[in-house]
Amino acid sequence: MAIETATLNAVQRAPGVWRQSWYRFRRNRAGMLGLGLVTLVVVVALIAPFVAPFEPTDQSAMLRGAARRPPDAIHWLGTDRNGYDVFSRLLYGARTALLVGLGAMTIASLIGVIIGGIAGYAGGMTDELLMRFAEFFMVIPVFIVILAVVRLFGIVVVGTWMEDIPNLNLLTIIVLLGCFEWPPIARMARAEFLRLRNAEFVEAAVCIGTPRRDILVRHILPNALPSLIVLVALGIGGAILAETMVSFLGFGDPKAVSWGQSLYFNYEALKVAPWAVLAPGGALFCTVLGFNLLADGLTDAFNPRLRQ
Amino acid sequence: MGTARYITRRLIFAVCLIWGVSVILFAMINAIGNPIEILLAERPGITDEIIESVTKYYGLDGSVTDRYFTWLWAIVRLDFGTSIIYNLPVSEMLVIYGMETLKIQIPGIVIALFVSVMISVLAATRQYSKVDFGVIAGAMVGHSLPGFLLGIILILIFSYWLGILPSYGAYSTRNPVMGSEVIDGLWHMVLPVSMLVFFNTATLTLLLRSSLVDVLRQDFITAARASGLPERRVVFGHALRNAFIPVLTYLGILFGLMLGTAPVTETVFTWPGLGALYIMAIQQLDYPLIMGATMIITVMLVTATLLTDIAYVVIDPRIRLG
Amino acid sequence: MTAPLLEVEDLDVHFPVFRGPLRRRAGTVRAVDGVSLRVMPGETLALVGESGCGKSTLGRAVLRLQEPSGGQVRFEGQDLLHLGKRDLKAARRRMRMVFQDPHASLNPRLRAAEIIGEAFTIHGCTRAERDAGVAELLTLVGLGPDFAQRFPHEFSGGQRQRLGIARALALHPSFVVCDEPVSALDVSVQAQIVNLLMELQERLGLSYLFISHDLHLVEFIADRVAVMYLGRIVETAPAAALFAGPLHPYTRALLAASPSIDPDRRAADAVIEGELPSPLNPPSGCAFHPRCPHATDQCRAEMPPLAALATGHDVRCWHAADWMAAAPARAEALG
Repeated sequence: MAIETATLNAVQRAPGVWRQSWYRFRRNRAGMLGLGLVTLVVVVALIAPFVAPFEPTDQSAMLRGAARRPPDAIHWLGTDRNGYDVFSRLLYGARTALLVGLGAMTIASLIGVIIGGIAGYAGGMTDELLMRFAEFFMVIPVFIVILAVVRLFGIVVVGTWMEDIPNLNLLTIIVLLGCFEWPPIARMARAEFLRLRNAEFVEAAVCIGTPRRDILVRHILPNALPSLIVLVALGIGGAILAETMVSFLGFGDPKAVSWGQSLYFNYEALKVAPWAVLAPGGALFCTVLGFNLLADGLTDAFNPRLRQ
Repeated sequence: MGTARYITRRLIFAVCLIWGVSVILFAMINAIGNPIEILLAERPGITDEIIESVTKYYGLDGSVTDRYFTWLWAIVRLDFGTSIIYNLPVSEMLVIYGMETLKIQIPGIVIALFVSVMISVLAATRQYSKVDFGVIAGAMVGHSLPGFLLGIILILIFSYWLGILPSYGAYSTRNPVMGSEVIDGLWHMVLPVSMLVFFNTATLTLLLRSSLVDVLRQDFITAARASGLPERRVVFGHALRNAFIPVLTYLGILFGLMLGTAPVTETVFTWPGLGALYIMAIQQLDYPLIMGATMIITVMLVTATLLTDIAYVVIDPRIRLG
Repeated sequence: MTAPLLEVEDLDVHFPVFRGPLRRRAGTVRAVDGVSLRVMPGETLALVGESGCGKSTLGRAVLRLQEPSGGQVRFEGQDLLHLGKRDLKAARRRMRMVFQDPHASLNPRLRAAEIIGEAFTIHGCTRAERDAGVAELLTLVGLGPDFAQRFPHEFSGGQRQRLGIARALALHPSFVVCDEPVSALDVSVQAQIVNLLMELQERLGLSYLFISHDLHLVEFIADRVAVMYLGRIVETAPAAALFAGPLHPYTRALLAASPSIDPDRRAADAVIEGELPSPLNPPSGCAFHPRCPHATDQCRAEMPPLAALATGHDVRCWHAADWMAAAPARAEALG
């Protein structure tokens, strides 16, 4: 035994679960590209106010008669039909996009983990009912319902105290996306909780008298995290795309500086000022691609056996 | 549990689902109060009496529950009421616009299926080759490129810059292309269908390629090869059939996704389909039309899901029913 | 005579089986059916049987990791099955489990110190007490305090099982259920772990319920042995007596089936034939009769009671007395 101890001390310590995943992730070129794109979006969102040449609300180009100008030295990506600087709004749009993605997925993760966790841990009839409930949300035409709710909610709030909340419309969209995007997370959380509920280390924890809350939070949840993180990464991209589509159809927040709003206002002028549409479109594409690749890379990194 | 029993259960669930959506929708629309009031409020010369009589005309008086059951009973008889804005029977409008939606959605999926099978076979039989990596990369990019952006790019290139394809509508208003209405219709379909095919192909290829790679690795394929079957028979006869199962189950989801985002697709191409109709209806608060369009979209979606569920168990006997 | 540490009486663990879309109750699996056991302080009781006979379920039910459906479990004089949440937690300071698979039984996200220290935290010890306890336990199981900050994957299989034992010994329990503690380990490591368990028993005065299917191991470690078949105890005896003169045909078959260097052990009883019957639908009468070479009509019709044939030697067989009578003769014949 002394020998056993000595050899283990001499050998370099094996890396932890997260570090091992990172080693695998680093070798995945597509995943790294995704991470790069996502980092770029985050950095842009953080430094937008410092690097943007114009305020996102600056319409002065309109007064100078310089709306719908193609890219030049002053307006790097041109101006749009409202006289906004396309490049500046592109940078600021990253903030809105991330706010939507993170906000919606925070809500979705909370609901999903709670519902899925209860279903998986409790089992039986509770499980059956909660999963049917989740399935309901997976089959109904979510996007269509969101459009209707955004529109109708906009009417309901007129004349109430809620009208004074800034960016209420954007908040509504975020909350709605969160409330409709939770079922995949719930299903995964349920599967993981079900698997881990009967794991021996959970039984071992019960055996020493660990209270149920600790078992769920300390023993089960951390082990369920990798699979959930993949879904959250995918969901952030999905939520950003959904918000853009809602805005593109004209149901977005007119006060928000988002890529979808730019697309909505400039689509009619596609023929004369295509740059005003292509720029936010390209930004959206890069963001969605980034999150998709990141999720893909994470799947490989967390489940090396699934790799092909 | 037998297959028949399983199917019955799914059917019951599907009906419950549609009913659930109808309740939510009805509750939501009633939350805004009387739509007639909101619609007519800003117009000049509208008195309370007019609002009252119009409300009565559209059957919007009476208690919420009464109205719900009246509406539900009408729906069951396929009577969706009359559109407030267009003053046409909603059921008629749904059929006309619905056909336009299916006209681009169905070719969009069918063509994509063929294309993705070809591409996937090409990639999977040359695993880890440059072709394979190219296909994976292309599919991943295509899958992440939002359909409506692709639509915009297609319009920009083929309508505005090259000027060869129409950018909006399903028919020409004045001179049909080549003097034939059929060709004119097909000509208008080219861009929207291309866009749908592109997106669907990318998604299906991602799925089918990895599924095919998986199957090609299995022992029964090696056995088939060893028995001297030509490679073409091995891939198309044995491997593809097995690799297709996950794809088939995904078709329903894909169709649902396409239908759900039809408002965006149809807005980009100004296509007179259900999605565009739906947008119009919620913009103008055309209450019977909102209800009707949502119900139809839900029914189509639920049916697609149901069909995939059934196809799944019919095709793959190994699936445990539960 | 001292009071037993653990007393199990008529313990049942039944699992309802549901079938069909309406989840109608289709039957019951009697995983553990009317089992009575006693474990004295400082004693090792081995529980032996084929896989699927309910021995693991019994071990879990004794610790209330699996809720029993009937019977009594008294631990240190307390009725375990009717304890409230708080009292049960207190009782869990005194009884623990060592699991079969040291890979699955350690939370991969926690460090060794956290795994062992959890019991201290839960039962309200201070940080200092916990750290001291962890260091002491790591030394006790032969790992040493240097290992405290490592994750389970940084340990070898044998070391992991030591970690599992250290966790089980936190806060000085008096009773430990060892559920096949070495069967997942390499043969070369098995002996080390078994020796550690026996050494710890001596030093700390522990009682073990040792669940195993390895008869050699049991012979080596156990004071008394209980043999289980289809949820019931069929024979229980002091280890020496059982291995010298097994009485139940099932025990004899088990012993015969286990490969032995000792040629005398290759006894007359044939190796067990047939499959273990489904516990959902157990045979009538004596559950062993379909596989028993000596089964009579009485065996097929009536279930035999667990009868005492010698001091501490109970057998559930109608013909046990005959085997008892035949035993000396057979011993002579073999000798």
